[in-house]
Amino acid sequence: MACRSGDRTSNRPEDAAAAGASTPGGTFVISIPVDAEPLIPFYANQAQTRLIVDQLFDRLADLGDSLNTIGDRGFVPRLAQRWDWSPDSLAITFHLDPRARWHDGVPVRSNDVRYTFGIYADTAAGIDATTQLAQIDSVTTPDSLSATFWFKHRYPEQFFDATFQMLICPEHLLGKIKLADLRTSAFGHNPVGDGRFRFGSWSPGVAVTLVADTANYRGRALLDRVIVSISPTPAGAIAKLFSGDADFIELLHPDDMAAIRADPRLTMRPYTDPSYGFLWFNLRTPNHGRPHPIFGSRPMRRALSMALDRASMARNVFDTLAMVPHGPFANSSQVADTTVAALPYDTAATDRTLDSLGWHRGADGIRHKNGQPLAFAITVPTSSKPRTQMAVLVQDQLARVGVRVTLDPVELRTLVTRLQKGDFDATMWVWKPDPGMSDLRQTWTIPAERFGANWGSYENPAFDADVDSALATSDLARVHTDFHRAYTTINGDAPAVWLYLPIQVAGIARRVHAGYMRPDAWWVHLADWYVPVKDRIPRDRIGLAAAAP
Amino acid sequence: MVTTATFVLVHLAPGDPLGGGLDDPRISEAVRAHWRAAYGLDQPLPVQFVRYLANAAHGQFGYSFAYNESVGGILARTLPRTLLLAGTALMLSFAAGIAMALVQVARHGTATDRVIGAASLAVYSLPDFWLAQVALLTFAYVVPLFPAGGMVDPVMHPYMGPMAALWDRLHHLVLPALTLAALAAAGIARFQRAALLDVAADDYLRTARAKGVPERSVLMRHALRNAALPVITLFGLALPGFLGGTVFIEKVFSWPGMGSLAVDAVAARDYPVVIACAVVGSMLVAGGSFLADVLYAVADPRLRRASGAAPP
Repeated sequence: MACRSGDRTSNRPEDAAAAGASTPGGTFVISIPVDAEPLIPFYANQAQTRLIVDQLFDRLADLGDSLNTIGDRGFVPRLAQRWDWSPDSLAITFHLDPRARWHDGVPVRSNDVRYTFGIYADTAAGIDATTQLAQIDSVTTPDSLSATFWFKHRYPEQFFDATFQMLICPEHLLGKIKLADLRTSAFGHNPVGDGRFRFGSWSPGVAVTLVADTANYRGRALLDRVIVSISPTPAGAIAKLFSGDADFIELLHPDDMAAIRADPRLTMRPYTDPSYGFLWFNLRTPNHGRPHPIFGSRPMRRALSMALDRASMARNVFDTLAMVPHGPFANSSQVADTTVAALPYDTAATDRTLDSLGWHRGADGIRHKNGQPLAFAITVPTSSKPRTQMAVLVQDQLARVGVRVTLDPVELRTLVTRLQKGDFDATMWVWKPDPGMSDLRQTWTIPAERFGANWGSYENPAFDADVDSALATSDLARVHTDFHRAYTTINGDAPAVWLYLPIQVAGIARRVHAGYMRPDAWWVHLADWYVPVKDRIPRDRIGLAAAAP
Repeated sequence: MVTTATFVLVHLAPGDPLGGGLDDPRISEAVRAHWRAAYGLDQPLPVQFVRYLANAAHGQFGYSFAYNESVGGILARTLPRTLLLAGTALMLSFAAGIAMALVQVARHGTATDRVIGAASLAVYSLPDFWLAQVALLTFAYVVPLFPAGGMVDPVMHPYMGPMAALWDRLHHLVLPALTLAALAAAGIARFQRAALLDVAADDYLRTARAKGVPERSVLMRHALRNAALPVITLFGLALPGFLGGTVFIEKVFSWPGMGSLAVDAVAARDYPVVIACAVVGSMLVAGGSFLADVLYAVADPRLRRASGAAPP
């Protein structure tokens, strides 16, 4: 399915000025299908929550649009005006912008950086980024505007870990709150940040309002306000875009695209998404116990993988809006490797393998061994239509080789709990890696069973060694060689079947001049989006004056 | 009973109010223990239940895990919204249902009677969630007459004058209220039509017609009053149906009321909110039943006399 690409991708200030953006203003309404979680940066994992906290809080430095994570090339100053590396590269000192202030007027100081690192690094807090920071020894504050990160050893992504993983938080507001109370603190419903938007209001289930911080050290946002409008259903979210109540929806279903094309007020913006979808086998019994009776066998997993025609499945569900992955990575990743060998679609090979493993077809067409049918359940989240469709296709294709698959639809929160406990046979899952190279370590290595998201209990020390080796060198050629070996290993072990790489298409009002939508977070340049003066509608003109009480 | 059943069911569901955090092995046991203690989840379920009942008896429904505020405060915000929606729909549905029944009886046996009967049966058989989605997509998207959800325009409403703000609120109310009302009106029409036909052959109506009373007055003044009693009963008893209906309607139309709150609370395992919603819902149902009794007595003088002065 073809989709029209938006032509408004410039982020250059001169283009913005020419289009009338020098007069700030405009209200940008984003329609989202779920409410946000408490706006605590430490715990902002859900995409909708990250969209909001990334507007409110700044990092020391931000990843550039090149998404390079090695060294500091391409990184853009944020709270840190500049930084120095120690001669031995084991320390980086960040020099804070003295103009930076929290939205309550208190200056941002190095003690905020030290406090933030202390929370993120605390293994008791249950913060996802903690394991990513394990190689940072400590943070010291030589003076109120300098924070030094000390590393346990040298590695390529030192700078990335010190900057990307942490949104700096205000110690004067959070420092007195006990670690265990942070997640549920009142701050999460009335956050004070330092970003180009300040928190306006949050009406639960209705909308979150962000307002331009006119005195921000990085300059005022071009938009007056951003409203994150909450619709509890996907139909409600898309209806708001069509009715004009919203200006943006981040993910269009193929069924909606024809209507977008027909509406002169709207346009589509395809953008890269680093997510990959996969059928995830649990290699152990619940609670990470004994080897799973089916998926504990490597030949069995390989046989099942080869029974799936991934290309036709992706086309069936996504039309042209998905590609088939080469491994556990998106093609846009800096460590992508499209030359790595994947298991072929070969049902004859599947039949041979299953026969050799002693699973023979019975009268009902299902394979049996020792009186047991070859059967398992795929747990699917009820909230995801594509994943359910994929699971149905897997069910059909595996039935052809004599495997009985039942679908187990489960509400998402329950599913996550079950995954964490290892209480599943197989599941249809999507993983959105962060831009760093070490993401593979968080999902597929042995330590990730305990501290990461290796909920399927995949274990191969050779794979771990290759990943560790790749992450320890700054030599890009060697990085790619090591990752190639790691990908080859994991593809051969088949702990999952890599099914699709989605291509996301956003729907957006034409009057909004949208900037570049970065793959890891489309919203990072939101403060530079604008509505040209001539295209403004009444809600764009209300200004920043407070509403009447 | 409602409290007990809800308490048991919600605690039987897998998951916890901290997004699985209480079972997350990455979080230290000390932190998890602190959370359990902070939310009273460290006690055995029977103890938690007794404690909850004691607090509820004092009107304290506890503290929401997800909203980080007292459940009473959340209900004070969301319940009036649900009552506005359900109350409006209730009025609309009875007005429309009775009007349809009167037209059907006035044109009894004609094509009009049959068309209205068939149409109301068709609407009555529709699932409310489906009808709501179709109404939303039709009237907010295909023919954009109404907003696509919410109670008010989240951007412009605070900046509107009083009349514009009132109009904005009504404009947002129309579609969800009509959708909710349409489902109920169809059933009420069939109920009212049957009641009217029951009294159609009674002597007092024949007398009224013989006296030359116009047919409209015969129906409106004589037949309707006598055929209203079963529908008045239905008025009170319809309240549970409307409360159930608002759960779906509020979700589809982004109406931030108690129905929507209850669904979100179930998903978030926000135990105190789920139980409070169930308790308040059951109180409203009981209140509806009481209202039906009162209205019945008001409408039927015989009941007033029977419960009034006893015969000597």
